Amino acid sequence: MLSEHEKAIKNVMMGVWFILASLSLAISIFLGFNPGALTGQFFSAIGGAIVIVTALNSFFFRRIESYQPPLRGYLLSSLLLLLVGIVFVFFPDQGVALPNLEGDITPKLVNISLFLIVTFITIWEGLMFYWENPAHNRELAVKYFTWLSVLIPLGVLIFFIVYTIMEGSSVIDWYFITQETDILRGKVGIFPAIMGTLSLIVGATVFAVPLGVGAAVFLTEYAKRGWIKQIVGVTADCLWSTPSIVFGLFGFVFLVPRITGHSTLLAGQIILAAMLLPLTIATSTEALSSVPDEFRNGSLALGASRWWTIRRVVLPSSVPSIVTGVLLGIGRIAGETAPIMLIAVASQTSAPNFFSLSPPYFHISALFREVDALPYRLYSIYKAGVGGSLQEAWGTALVLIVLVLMFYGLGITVRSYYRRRRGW
Amino acid sequence: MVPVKQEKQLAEDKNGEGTIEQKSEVAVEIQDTDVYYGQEKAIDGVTLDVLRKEVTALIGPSGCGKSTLLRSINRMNDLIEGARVEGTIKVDGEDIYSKNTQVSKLRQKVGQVFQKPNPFPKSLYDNIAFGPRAYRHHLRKDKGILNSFSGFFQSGEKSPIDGRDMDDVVRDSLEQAALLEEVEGKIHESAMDLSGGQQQRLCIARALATKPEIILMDEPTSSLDPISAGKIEDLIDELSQEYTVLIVTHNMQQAARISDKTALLWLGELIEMGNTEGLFENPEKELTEKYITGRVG
Ligand SMILES: Nc1ncnc2c1ncn2[C@@H]1O[C@H](COP(=O)(O)OP(=O)(O)OP(=O)(O)O)[C@@H](O)[C@H]1O
Ligand SMILES: [Mg+2]
Repeated sequence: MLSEHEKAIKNVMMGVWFILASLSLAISIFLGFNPGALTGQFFSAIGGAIVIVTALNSFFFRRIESYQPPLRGYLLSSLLLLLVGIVFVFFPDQGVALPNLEGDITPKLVNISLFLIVTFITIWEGLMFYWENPAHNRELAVKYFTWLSVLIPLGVLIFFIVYTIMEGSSVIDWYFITQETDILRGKVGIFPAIMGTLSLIVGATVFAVPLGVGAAVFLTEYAKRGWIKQIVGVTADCLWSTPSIVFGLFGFVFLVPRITGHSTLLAGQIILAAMLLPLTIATSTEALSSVPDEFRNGSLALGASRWWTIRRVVLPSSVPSIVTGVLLGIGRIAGETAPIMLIAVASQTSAPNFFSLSPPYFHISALFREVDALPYRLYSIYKAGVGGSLQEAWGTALVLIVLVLMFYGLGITVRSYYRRRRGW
Repeated sequence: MVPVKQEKQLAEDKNGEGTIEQKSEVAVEIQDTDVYYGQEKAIDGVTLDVLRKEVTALIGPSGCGKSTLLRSINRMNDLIEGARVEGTIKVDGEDIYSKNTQVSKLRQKVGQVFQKPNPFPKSLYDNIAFGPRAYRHHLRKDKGILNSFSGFFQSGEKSPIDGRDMDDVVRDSLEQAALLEEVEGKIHESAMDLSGGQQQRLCIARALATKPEIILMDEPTSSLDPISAGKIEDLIDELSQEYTVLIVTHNMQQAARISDKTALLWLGELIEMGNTEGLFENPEKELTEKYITGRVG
């Protein structure tokens, strides 16, 4: 229970609370008063006020009221979040426009800022509510937070996908995904871009995975010295964080002149492989070192050689993690435009043609031609209006997303298949 | 007083001797051996013989070098950086630290069972067939690459060690490890689903599949419940009819129950070794007496 002294402080604070609330409310209404945008103004004004109040509340009253679960702040900010969210989603242009010198603090900006701030406050209040409530176990706060951190990205993802489906699904038909654009008949098809992206991904994976896994095996199983591992680790991290356009430039300056002098599929595959490599090394190293030494000892004690041990015990146990890592990497490179723009792609090319029904059934020459790619197609439609309408760009985006998700799905399947057989 | 294992069926031992032609009684001969970890000496001038088809128990306080000594017999110490063995260790009369030793062959002949059951995350079948398959891989490397494909054309898989069907090897090993009945019908399921005690017996079966002569066991029951531990003890007793067993244990009762010989290590040195019965009933050294009665250690 609160002591008398604490109650007094609380009452004083309540007074301050109210004054501040009315003050900020007044300021908000005053600032936002311009005719024709009343709905938004109303919400924003209330919002602005309550944000400030809640923030103050959480900073001052927390200390005093620590016996009681701070439910009020939580409910208040949740309600607020709902209101601000409605404004943000449905009336983004309405509301307070703060006067400033450049005049660039628009209602839009205010609304999104409010939305973000209130979101954080709500999360904070929620955490506090669980954390400080003796009736709750603190585990709940952690659980609550975990759920949020799952739900928020999931929500964003679902939003992206649903939005893309809404915009893009109308142009998707059988022709769109299995044919080339036919200019005469005015029909758009992205088959070459799909095949181009697939060839790039497959090529990059074929180059990067054996190399990356090999490097990881060397590092974890053979290299005794710690510093070699560290150097490779740092190098891999640097490579991973290198901007992708730098890879593209490197390919353009160094690789392209040494292959054919013009953009080729092969150059794209090599550069994407170089981008994929660090992640492959990192995840494989991680995966291999997480295999318990007991397995290695068990195998070696049976007379197996080191290599046999790696092949039959260590690698199979780490396949799930390696696959997951590689697929994540593929997800990234599949959507890259910058590195391939200069070295591998051209719009309106036909699909790479590796196989034919007549001799010579396999055409290595396809490696030395330009290809189209999904992210590049998107880029050229938006930037240059080449290759289709905006609708078709959404369709292309949808195909790209589905493709990437398919890789993830594959990864998850492989992982769960092996997980079931792993168990340590 | 701890109950002491009765002299094993003497008659049977005598019969057994006849079948081992020209093989000496001594399976492992350790002569004046030191083992170092970097500068630190973990084993100091140990000399002892492990006799064929006997169970020899290694006892001693924690950190006295029991595991170290065990690992130097199948050269698992090679895997530890900075570990170094000085002296002579002979298995079947051959110096295992000589240049010509094939470590793979040595480890096939000297199996090891670890403290914590460590079955591979594979099926029971694949766990047991692992040793023979690894052995075949090494054989093939000797014979050349063409032989690598012979496996594809054989109808049933054969163990390269004794040429028997792999299915039989697996079943026999399980049988010998007293596990067959319990896992009947689950041989192709994951070994990870077994209980700890079953896993440990699987590890023993896995070691048996390579037809070893000697089995090293490092506290094989210390992570198990008393019933599972009891089963493993019975199993060791059973195995000693055919195999030489060297077992590390912290459990005096266990040493007394299952071993023929007992050796006490102390700070890397061998204090006393002798018939288990004798050692437990009238130890020669005062230290031994104190240790087995629990007054030091
Ligand atoms: N991998 C290693 N690296 C360095 N020193 C080691 C290593 N393993 C063991 N030692 C040292 O060697 C000595 C003997 O260790 P060992 O593991 O053989 O003892 P132990 O008798 O098996 O003990 P426990 O009963 O606890 O298993 C110890 O002093 C230990 O610190
Ligand atoms: Mg030990």
